[in-house]
This record gives sequence, structure tokens and C-alpha cells, in this order.
Amino acid sequence: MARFEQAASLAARLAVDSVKERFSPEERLEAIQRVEEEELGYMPMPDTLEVKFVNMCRENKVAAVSAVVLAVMSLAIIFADKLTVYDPNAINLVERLMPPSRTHWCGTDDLGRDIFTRILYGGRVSLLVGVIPTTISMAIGIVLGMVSGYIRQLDAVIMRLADIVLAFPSIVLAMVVMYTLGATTSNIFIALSMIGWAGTARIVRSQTLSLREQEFVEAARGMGVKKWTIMFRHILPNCLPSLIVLFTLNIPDAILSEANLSFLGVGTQPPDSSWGLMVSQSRTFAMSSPWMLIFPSLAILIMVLALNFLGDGLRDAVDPHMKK
Amino acid sequence: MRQPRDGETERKTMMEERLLRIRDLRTTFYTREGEIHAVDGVSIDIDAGESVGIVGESGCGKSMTAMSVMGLLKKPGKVDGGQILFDQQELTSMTAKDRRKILGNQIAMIFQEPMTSLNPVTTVGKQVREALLLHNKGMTREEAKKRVIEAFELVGIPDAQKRYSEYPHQLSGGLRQRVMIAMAMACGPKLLIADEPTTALDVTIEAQILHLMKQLQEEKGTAVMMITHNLGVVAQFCARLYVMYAGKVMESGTVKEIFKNVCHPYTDGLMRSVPDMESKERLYNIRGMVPNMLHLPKGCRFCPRCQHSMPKCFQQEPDLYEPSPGHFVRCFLFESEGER
Repeated sequence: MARFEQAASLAARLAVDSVKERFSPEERLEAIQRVEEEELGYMPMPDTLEVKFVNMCRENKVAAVSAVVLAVMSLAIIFADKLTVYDPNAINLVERLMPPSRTHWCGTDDLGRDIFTRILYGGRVSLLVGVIPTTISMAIGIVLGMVSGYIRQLDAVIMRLADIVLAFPSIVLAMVVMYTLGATTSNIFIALSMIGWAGTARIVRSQTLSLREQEFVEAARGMGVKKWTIMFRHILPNCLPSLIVLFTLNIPDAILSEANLSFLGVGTQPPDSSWGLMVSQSRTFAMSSPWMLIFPSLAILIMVLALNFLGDGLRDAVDPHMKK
Repeated sequence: MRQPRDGETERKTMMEERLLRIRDLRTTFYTREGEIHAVDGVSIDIDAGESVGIVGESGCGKSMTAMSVMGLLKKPGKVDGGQILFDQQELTSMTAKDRRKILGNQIAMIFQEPMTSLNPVTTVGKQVREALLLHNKGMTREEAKKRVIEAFELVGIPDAQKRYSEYPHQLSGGLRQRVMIAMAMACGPKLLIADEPTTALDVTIEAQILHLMKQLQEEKGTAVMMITHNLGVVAQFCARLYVMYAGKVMESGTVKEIFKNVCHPYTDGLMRSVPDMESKERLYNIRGMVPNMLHLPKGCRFCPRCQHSMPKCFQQEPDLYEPSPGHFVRCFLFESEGER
């Protein structure tokens, strides 16, 4: 027994000596501090959303480019009047159906209006239609989804309602609303909000269902916190990462729906323009003056693609399971 | 309901010193397979300022007793019998709104997992502040923040000012449990229910946390219901002890009396299962498993695992017997010592 102890202490001393030989005193001190910090539980700071965004841009170049493209497009749309000398609605029959040239970058349409100008101004409608109904429908979806997930008695009612909305072809539902309420931009918001909430409600409900079983929710209930406070202060912030991603994925949906409605003649009404309406109006001239069709379609395509890529990038950045 | 026997207990009841009085509590889970009586006629008393331990294996109903008191039972669980008197208020028939006023304010709970019992996306300071503001109407946010930092200092969180605005994952397990204690103690509750507060912590931190709780309990005069499966914790922390098995109290009494004079074979088994540094023998274990709560054995619930089981044990359920004053045992071995 004694010999064993001797051997052990010898081994320990040898180990210490070899550490002393290999590392300088500073290095040893640093190592000790590192261990101490770990033992005291100073864990590395988690990434904030900004940090996550920057990391995403660094790793995912497509998403970074998409973000830049979106920023440029938004600025161009907001400052449309500074970027073009033409009036979007001024008819100039002399210059009708002109192909792209130095004076008309994207050509002119059948009434001689500058298409580049109309894309910029039409973008205002398309962007609003992208952001506002998405915000409204997600707000509705979040509340209904959380109620459905947390207050189980209401679950069946809300979810069957969502099922009905999801089962119905959304464009038909939106058309019905537009026909009944009349075709104005604000009614487009209402129509798109009415069809968009169901998907969000589903997702929020499923997250609420798993979060409500977490111990911190139980602890909050044990502290006498009210139902609604638990939902909005404890559960909602935990859903936020996926909601951010969902937001970027819902915007292109709304833009495309507006384009569809306008194409069908129940969306934005002339002489105002939106991208969808411009595509719709170009159809009779598609063969003879293809620029009327191509450029608004490109605008839709680029914005939708950019939003989708950005959404994908954000999802990967926020989701811990996607990390390599 | 059985009447207390000796004069002293009677006087105590008369003086209404009992802070928590659980009488014949029955909590049942109505599952598809059948009814599970998770808590089956449990009676527990806790005086003001007293620390009481509830001990048992996993699934013996000790947590469910706590959850019943808190009113946090989840479906399909339901309290369907008995009384829970807290400070002379009947908790079982109380509305959710009235109960919320008591929870966190007069009864607070510390959970087992400090890792998951704090909201990961809110700073710990805000979470404790929320608890304070909830039960102190008219308190300003600044005032509450000051109180929170004081509470953090009281529970021994270093750098309380800085820790206030940190997120749970930035703290170690021990610190998180300290935050939970700060939160539970923030409103100065009369009763603290601690559901295995140190199970998820390592041994050195466990000792610190227990020491802290003991200190707070003595300073503030808070009664503590300590739910644990660790008899060492009980010996260190509690004055009285309830041993539960399969939803029933098997033995109860003062810790001193039970440790000196173990009566129930189950308690004896638990005590012998604690590793001993001196002993060279193989560690004792109670043979068999906790019974399936859907198919409880006939007679005494412990008899299939009991070394002393008699034919009688398989036929009939034993009552509580009192081998010495204040020490109750649910076992036929002590039948001769007189029924309660």
C-alpha cells in the first residue's frame, strides 16, 4: 500500500514538472484562470440578434447580398420622386410603346408612361402590401395561436377555424373579400390579413404547446402570474426567433397574392400601379413589346427571391440545430 | 378525521398555530388506463417557521402533494378529496384568482431544475422584479429593482448589480438556484415549498444552498416543506419528517426520533441505502421496484418488498400506530404499541 502511494506521488510530481517545463508561468496562470472562470460558471455570452445577423452575413453570402438588394430596392421605392423625372401617371401618346433606351430605361407602356418610374411608384403599393397585411395577419395569428396553445378549451374552435381558412384556396377567399368590399388598397390589406393568419397561428400554437410544459412557465404560475402575462411575457419572447423568420417568408407571399389579385382585376385599380397590375396590363402587348412584361416581373422576382434567401439565412442563423 | 390524542397537540390545534394543515388529501390522475391515486389520503402538518421534510423514492407522490398545495396540478390530475388549510384558508375550494394572490406572496416554491425554471430570454433581475411587482401594488420599478438587488445580495450572489441584467444561461447552476431562492423569498412568504432544490447541483454547491436556505429560514421565520429523496438533506435541514411510499405517509415524527428509532421497514431500508464511508459491506438496496400505481398490491403497499412481511400484510392495510408520542408508523409490526 505504502509503495503504491509513493509511486502515485512520484507520478504526480513528474506530471507537475513536465507541465512546468513545457509552459511558461504566464501560460500556466492563464490556464488556471481559464479553468477558474469555467468553474465559476462564466459561460460565453450568447449571440444577440445583431451578432447572429452579422455572422449570418459572413457565412451566408447569398443572404448578405439579398439584404443589400432589399435595402437598395426599399430606398429606391421610398425616394422614387428623387430618382426619376417622369410622372408615373402622365400619359404621353407620342412616346407610347418605346423600347428601353437612354431616356426610358425600361421603355414605355401603351400610354407612353415610363415603366421604370411606374415600377418605382408601383413598388410602394407592393411593399406596403407586403409589410402591412403580413404584420396584421401575424399579430392575429400570434394571439390566436397562443390562446389556442395555452387555453386548451379554445384550441379546437380556433384550430378548426384555421383549418377552414387553410383548406380554402386563398386566392378565391381574397377575391370574394375584394368583390364584397370593393377594390381599394386598404381592402387588399384586409383581404390578405384574413387569409394569412392561419399559418402563423399553427406555428405559434405548436411552440406554445411545448413551451407551456417548461418549468419556467410552471414557476411563473407558482409565483401567481396571470395567464395572459405568462403568454405575452414568458411564451411570446421565446417564439420570437421563428417569428422573425416567418415574417420574411410571409412578405413575398403577400406581394404575390396582391399581384395575383391585381392580375385578376380585383386588386390595385388603374391609374395607380402595382407590380402585379403592370404585369397584368402588359399581357396584350407581351409579344410586340416584351419589356412591358419583363421589367415588372423582374422586380417581383428579385424582391421575392431576395426575401426568401434572407428568410432562409435568418432561419439558419437563429436555429441552433442548423449550426455546423 | 382522527382526533389528536394528547393534550399538547390539542392545545396547539386550538391555538391555531398550524400554518399548513393537510388532511386526508387525495389527488387522482384520471388516465385512460385507469385512476392513479398519486396522493392517497395524506395528512401533513407544518407549523409556522418549522422545517418539515418529505422523503420517498421517485413516484411516491411527494411532488404531487406539493403541486396539490400549489394548485399547479396538470390534467388529468385533480384533487378530489381532503382539505388543505393554509393560514385558516381552505385552498382546495379557492378560486384561481384568490389563489394567485397567495401564490408567490405567502406560499412560494423552489423547483428542482434551476436550469429550466428561469425564462431563458428574460434577464434574471427582471424575472425577480416581476414577482415583486406582482404582489406589491404601487411599488415603483426603481424601488423593486433596489429590492431585487438587495435580495440578490442576501442570497449571496456576488456582483448583484451586474448579475441583475444577465440572462439565466450566463449563470452557473448554483447561482441560478440562488436566483430562484431570491425570487421565492422576495415577497417574504410564510411557507416555502422546496421540491428537491439541490438534486441538480453538485455536492459542494448543495451544501452552500442548504446552508443559505437554513439561514434564511431562521432569519425570516419561514416554514419550509423540503421535498427530497436525500436523507442527508433531511438530517441537516429538517425538524420533522414524513416518509411517503406509493402515495401514503408510512412514517412520521421528529427527525431526531426517527433517526434514533427507525420503525417502518421502508424507512429502515432508505437509511441503510445511504452509503457509509466506514463500512466495507456491499451497499444495501431495497429489493424490488416501486409498485405500478395502477395495480397496487392488496394490503400494505410495501409488503412485496418488505423483509418483515407477515401473511396479514397481504390481506389488510395497516393503520397508523404510535410507538412513541408524536411518532407514527403505518406497519403491523407496531400494532401492539397502540392504534392512533
